[in-house]
Amino acid sequence: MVSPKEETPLPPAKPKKVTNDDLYRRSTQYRYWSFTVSKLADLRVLANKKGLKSTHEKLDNLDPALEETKAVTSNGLDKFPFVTPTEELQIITYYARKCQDLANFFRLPSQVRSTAIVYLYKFYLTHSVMAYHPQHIMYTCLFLAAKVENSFIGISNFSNAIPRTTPDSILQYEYLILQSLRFSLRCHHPFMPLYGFYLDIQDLLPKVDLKRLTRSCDKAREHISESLFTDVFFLFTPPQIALSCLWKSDDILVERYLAKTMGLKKRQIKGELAVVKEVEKGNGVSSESASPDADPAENESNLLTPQQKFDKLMITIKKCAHAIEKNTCSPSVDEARRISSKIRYCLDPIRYGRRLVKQQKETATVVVQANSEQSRPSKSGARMADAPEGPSKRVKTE
Amino acid sequence: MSASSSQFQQLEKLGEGTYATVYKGRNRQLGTLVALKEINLDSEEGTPSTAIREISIMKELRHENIVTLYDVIHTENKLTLVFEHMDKDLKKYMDAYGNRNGSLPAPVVKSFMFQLLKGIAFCHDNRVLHRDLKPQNLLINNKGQLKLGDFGLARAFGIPVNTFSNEVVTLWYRAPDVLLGSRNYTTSIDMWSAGCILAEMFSGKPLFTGSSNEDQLKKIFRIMGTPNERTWPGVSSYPNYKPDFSVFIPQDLRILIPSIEPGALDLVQRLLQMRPEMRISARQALNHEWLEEYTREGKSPLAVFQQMHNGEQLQQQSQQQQQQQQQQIPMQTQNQPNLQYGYQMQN
Repeated sequence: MVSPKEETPLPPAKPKKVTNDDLYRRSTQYRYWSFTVSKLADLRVLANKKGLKSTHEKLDNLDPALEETKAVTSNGLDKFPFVTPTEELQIITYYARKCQDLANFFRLPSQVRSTAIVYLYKFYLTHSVMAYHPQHIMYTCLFLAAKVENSFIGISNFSNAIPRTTPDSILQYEYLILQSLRFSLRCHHPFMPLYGFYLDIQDLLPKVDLKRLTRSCDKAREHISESLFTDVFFLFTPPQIALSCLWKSDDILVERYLAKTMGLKKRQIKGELAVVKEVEKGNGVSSESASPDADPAENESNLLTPQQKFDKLMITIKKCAHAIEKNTCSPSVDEARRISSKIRYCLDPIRYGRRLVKQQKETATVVVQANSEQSRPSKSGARMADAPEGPSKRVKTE
Repeated sequence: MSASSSQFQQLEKLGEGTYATVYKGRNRQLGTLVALKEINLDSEEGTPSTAIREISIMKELRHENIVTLYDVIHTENKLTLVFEHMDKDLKKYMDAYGNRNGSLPAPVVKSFMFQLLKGIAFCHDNRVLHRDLKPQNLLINNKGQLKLGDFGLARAFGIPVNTFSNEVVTLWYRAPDVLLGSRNYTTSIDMWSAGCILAEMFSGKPLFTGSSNEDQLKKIFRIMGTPNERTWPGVSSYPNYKPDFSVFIPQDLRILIPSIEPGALDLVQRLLQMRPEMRISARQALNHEWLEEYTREGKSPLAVFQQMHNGEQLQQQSQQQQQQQQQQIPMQTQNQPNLQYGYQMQN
């Protein structure tokens, strides 16, 4: 790479080009927080087991002399309202949505809102809701995210706006969250890449209808906000998510743009698009459209042909879009209440005992009233506990 | 991240920052040295924003010219950031090893400048502004490695960048556009500081030593010339611009910094541009011909220190250092002799 002409000054040395991909790979988001689907599931099962263990320990530590303890024991531990991994994810998502509402209430920018939601999900990759109620953790996540993203809200203002909190009740979890995040606080969200694509599309497709593009991007922003309640943050890169959300709102535009970026010729695009459409219909993430005319000589160091690149990217985009749509974790309010009261029993098992005792007494009274004499309260108590928790008056889900 | 405070023995105080005190520390098990930055958690707002900012940025920046954050430790009322230990900062280094007037030998300046620019370029690539570059924040170890430290004022930027406070950067290294009240500064703010530091390494004393915002501007104008609408279109619309600024004509930097090499002078002039958009970027500066021996010929910036010290174990150590950066706890070998190359370089 030495210039043959010695008399002319050498051209400035090319700096090592740092690509955006390089930058992303260096980020803690990639290094610490990118997982495969199965790894992510494993982490959640592990977190759940940790929660089971902590509740079991609490149960073991109950004073056996207490009436409540006896009620729990005689009721059978297999009937204790432990929270399942599925329920964990449901209730976390429920509070993630509450977090969004709260962020909007404080008029925080989307960056803060998104970061807070991501913190909440990250926290519960190492902890169980049975150990920390997501409602409290959510408040602290939002407070911390505002601090990290330079939208600081004073703790007294923050706490004053949220019923039944004190500055201390929020601050007490700050370090625990920092630690659970492994002190990696920076989050890259798909909003910025989306804006990048918005500019790049105008650049590459100068004839594009700007109104249509703007509309599609606005729609894509909504999809991105919605994607926060799914696992895509842990599974895909921000540009992939951005592209996928844009594709969800305008598939033709994105495919045309990508074909142009990959250097596919016009004729090829049409053919290619047809293939893509088929893949789409056939639900075929697995389908591989081989390009027979790939020239092996040009395929240096395993470089893909433009078509292969295009196909590969489209598959990723569709996988991501599918993962966003698949979001079925959002529970109903009643469902959330049910899980939330289970959490409260797990956090403080004596409460469950109290409830059993109360039920037993109530049942006993009923039975006494009905049968005037004979009663077997424990049996009917157990039956009652079997039923899903009714809407408990104590539980308040802000 | 499982360190506890008992893992480190606290040694002498190294310095007191705006929001933290820094101590030298020793890992009790490994015997290695670290820098312990202690942050009081008395704040009613929980962990101070500055600490949050520094942690958040330092976790992302892993580079040989940026000080490594190994760990964060929490005790009841304080937070301790465990950093890689560096022997000196550039100011102390110049005091200790500089020539009679405090200046450094040209090969040393060149090496430090190259390393400084690499560190800045990495920050800017990662969308981070340091905002407080000064000799006290450039840390130097006894291998001659220079690393950017103290990211307490640093912040991440995206677009737009027009919401930053202008109360940053120690006055002497503050860019004129910031002094004039600009709020939409960007990476060029760090490049001005780099220019000031380069000049200072050659001259042994700070280039512009103002005592107030206004005085700092005056000191800059005295040397760089007072800007006007012709030399700097738009300058009069800056908040702190005054039409009655004393008018100075630009001085020749070569006379002010007689020991400067021609190549370095050209680089200083490209960095100390009054108009922020005219200042060269860190990447461009790295490609400056003055630094060719590193960029094109691939010479190591640490070679000058090896030569000065007969290449004692240094190469081997620098390899080790790189591996250590992957690990959490440094295994750095100790008891390296203090290098006293400053005077040896004179000839």
